[in-house]
Amino acid sequence: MVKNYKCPGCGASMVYDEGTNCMVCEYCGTKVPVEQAKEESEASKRQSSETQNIQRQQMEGVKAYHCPNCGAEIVTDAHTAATFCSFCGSPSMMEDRLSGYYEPKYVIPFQIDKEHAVELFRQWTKKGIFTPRSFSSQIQLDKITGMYVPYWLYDYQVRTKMSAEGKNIRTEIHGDTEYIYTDHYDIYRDVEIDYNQIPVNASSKMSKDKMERLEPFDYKGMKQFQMPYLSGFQAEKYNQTEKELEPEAEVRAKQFAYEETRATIHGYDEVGSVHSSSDAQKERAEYAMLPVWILNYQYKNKDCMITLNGQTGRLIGKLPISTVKVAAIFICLTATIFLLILLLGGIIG
Amino acid sequence: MKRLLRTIVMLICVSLFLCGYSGKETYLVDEADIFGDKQTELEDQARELSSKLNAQIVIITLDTEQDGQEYDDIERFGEEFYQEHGFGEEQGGVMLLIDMGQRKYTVVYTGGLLNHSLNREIADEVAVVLKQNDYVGAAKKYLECVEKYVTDYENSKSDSNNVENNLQYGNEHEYNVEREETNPVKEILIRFLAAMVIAGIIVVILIVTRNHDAKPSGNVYIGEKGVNILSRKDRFTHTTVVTRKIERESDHSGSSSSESSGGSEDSGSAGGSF
Repeated sequence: MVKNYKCPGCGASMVYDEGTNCMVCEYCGTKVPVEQAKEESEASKRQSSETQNIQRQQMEGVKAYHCPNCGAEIVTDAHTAATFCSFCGSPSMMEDRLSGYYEPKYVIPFQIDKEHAVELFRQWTKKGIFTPRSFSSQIQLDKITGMYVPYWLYDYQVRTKMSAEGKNIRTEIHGDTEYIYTDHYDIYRDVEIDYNQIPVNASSKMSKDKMERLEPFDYKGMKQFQMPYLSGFQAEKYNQTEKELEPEAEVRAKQFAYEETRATIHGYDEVGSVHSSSDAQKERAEYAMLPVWILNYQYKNKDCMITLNGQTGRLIGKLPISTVKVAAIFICLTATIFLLILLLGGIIG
Repeated sequence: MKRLLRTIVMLICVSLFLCGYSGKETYLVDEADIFGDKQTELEDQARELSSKLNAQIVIITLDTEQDGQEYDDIERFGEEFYQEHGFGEEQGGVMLLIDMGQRKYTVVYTGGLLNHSLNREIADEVAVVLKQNDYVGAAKKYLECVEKYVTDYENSKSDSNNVENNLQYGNEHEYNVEREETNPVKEILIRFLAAMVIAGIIVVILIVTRNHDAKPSGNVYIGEKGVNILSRKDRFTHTTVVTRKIERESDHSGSSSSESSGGSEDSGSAGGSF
């Protein structure tokens, strides 16, 4: 069933506003707290359940819904949980895809609105000494999409046992002989660490590497999941289960534990022959929706993507390189270094 | 003791004899009268050479037999004589001293105009002519060698390639300075290539590091219980020692080490019998 939230003042669709943490009508400006919007929606749903028309078509992972605002058909894939009507632009949430087993436990609402996100993207496109000048003008920054990405948050307890060899080196000179003393140590550590809410991206559509680089999210801003938060944004439900992603989460937890345990070995000039073994116990896994701004663009016939953490503003993307700028910088550097070499009398010869 | 006293007396006598002239303006004193009418010519040559080299080039002949003087070491005697008369005080100098009485000669230099090897070389070349009893020839040979060797030595010192003089004592009779021919175009090309390589490395580093988006470390996910170190052991096992001989600069043999014939590298003497 497709859901959206109607303005009590004018009946238009309301969207979630990050700044006020309320549902806002973009036409009349009416603001309704999230909780209140949800309650009113539930009441409305009970009243209109007889008149609502649900039609589902199974077309190889494509499902069709009807927009409750204009009645147009909304075609989405099986994992889209929130989108916009292509005809009237009304935000639409597929309630059945976010209920029951698919209902997220947590959500981190967007803290960065679209305007701010566009500005951050714009500043980023102008960065870098090798970035082509035309890059920022060629990209349609307004096409950015706010999306809630599904994550599994894992709690792990990891126990790491590590052994290593440490060396401390000192030198003494007596007469014309140099004595190099190396003190050898056997090092052993047994460390237990609890990790909370290690995030693992649960949508195979999103690049795992990019999503990891967007971290960390500030979990202090995490709230209990409520549908109104998704209004005005796209959302995906998970297509990889908690069990499927457990090995990946365990690898991350063990890697963190290894680094933390290794950091307890200090005070040596050299540390070598490091051997370790870890035992990881999963304690809990919870489903959450985390905010991401995404911009897909084409530059010189290449498909590229920039992502922005919708809470912290951390931006991940690859800036293109202008060969003209590279050549110019290379020539300038060569000339400068050549002059310096001549002035200093030469390094060679 | 007797010999020492004799040496001192001899020096005083010679000094009194020669005190009628200023040490700074002396270029030739033919006390033994071996140059005959070539004295003036030789003195002029010595004066000209002194002016050219900006040093004091001196020729002295003595006859210590007539004075009843004795000395053990002609080289030391020559050095003391040289200092006594203040030769080469301003810019250094070279002196040929010929003692006809004992048929000994010595060449003394100061002011770093030569080194021991070159000085020895001059002395040897002069000795060859002295032994032929050609005293004027010997004086001319002396002046010729001083001009050549002092000039070459000066050039080699100022050359940045630091050409080493590898003449061995008594082994060589010719001294040739080998100077490297530098190709300025080649040097500039090498420097330009070096600049290109360095610039290329810098550009590559800038490109590779331009999109450095690090992943977060695990400590942001550490829970309230934190890090619990159940066991920590740092056990000393043993110490290993490695010894190394330190190479000193003096261990490297080179032309900078002084040859025989006393004195520092900036001054010295070389002599013998003829």
